[in-house]
Amino acid sequence: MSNSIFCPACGSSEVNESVSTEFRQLTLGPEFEVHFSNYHCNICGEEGDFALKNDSVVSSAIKEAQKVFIRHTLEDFENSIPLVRIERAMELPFRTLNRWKSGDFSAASLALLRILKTYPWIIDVADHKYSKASSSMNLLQAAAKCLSSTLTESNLNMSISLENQPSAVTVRADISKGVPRIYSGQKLAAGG
Amino acid sequence: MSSEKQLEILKELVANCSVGLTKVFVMKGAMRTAEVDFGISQMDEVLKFIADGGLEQPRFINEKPWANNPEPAVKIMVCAWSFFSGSKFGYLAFFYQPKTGKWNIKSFKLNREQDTRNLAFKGLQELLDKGSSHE
Repeated sequence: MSNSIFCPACGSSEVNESVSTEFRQLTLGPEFEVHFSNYHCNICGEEGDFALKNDSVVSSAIKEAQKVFIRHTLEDFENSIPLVRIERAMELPFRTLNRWKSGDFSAASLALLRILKTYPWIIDVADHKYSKASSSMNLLQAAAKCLSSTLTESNLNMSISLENQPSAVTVRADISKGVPRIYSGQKLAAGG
Repeated sequence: MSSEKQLEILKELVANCSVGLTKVFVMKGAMRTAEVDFGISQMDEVLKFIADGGLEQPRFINEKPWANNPEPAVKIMVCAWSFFSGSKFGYLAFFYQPKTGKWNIKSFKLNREQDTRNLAFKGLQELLDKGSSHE
């Protein structure tokens, strides 16, 4: 029983504290543990963090999970491309990503890395100054790859090619399930 | 109570949210759903969200007496509102306790009622269903 903590709903000091350990999942990141403080009011029955302890506990647990996410995401990128290339393409000052990796990052850093992890081809779009041709081509290629993997999961084979010409982007898809073959080709307007 | 008066009460909550945790409290259940449904895991963040205009197109639903009120002689009403946040349709319920001077947020969750923005599509679907039954 605590005498200094009041129930904000009814004003009673007849409150009991309990602590529980719960697991949370960082968006695209690791699972982490939080020790939540909870008060129960013996008069009105309402519950909550009457002592306002949880915000700082959650905040520091999230921060630690974010550090792990940033480090792992950048290490994954480093396995395929040098970080300095991402920095050049995204017009970030050099060594920025290493700074993030060592724990010096912001919420905006985190948001950018989540976007890059989900749509890594945006790095190529950025490298082409976000030109309409590059953004369309990369988007179509990503869509084709996504469609292809979905069809593969359904035991269908698909090969797809994209040709970027001045007046149009030609999409050629070959979908097959053994024999006979289904074939389709479609022309889309440039930049469409 | 008139809808203008209800709106005034909501505006008062929003204004108090900008003051912070000394004025507004978010209860356990509301915190849990704020995190699960809206990705907001800290009480202070819920208040900032509300204070900074996060409740889009708020619409008054109803007001009911606070069921857990230990002093029924003092009438405390819980106001319920629906709102949008992008594609999410939310539900907010709160009351003011004069004894503690605190606004208490009882619910902050996804609204299980019909999303009014989908009503037009619902009508369209009914027409399509009707059309296909005539074929």
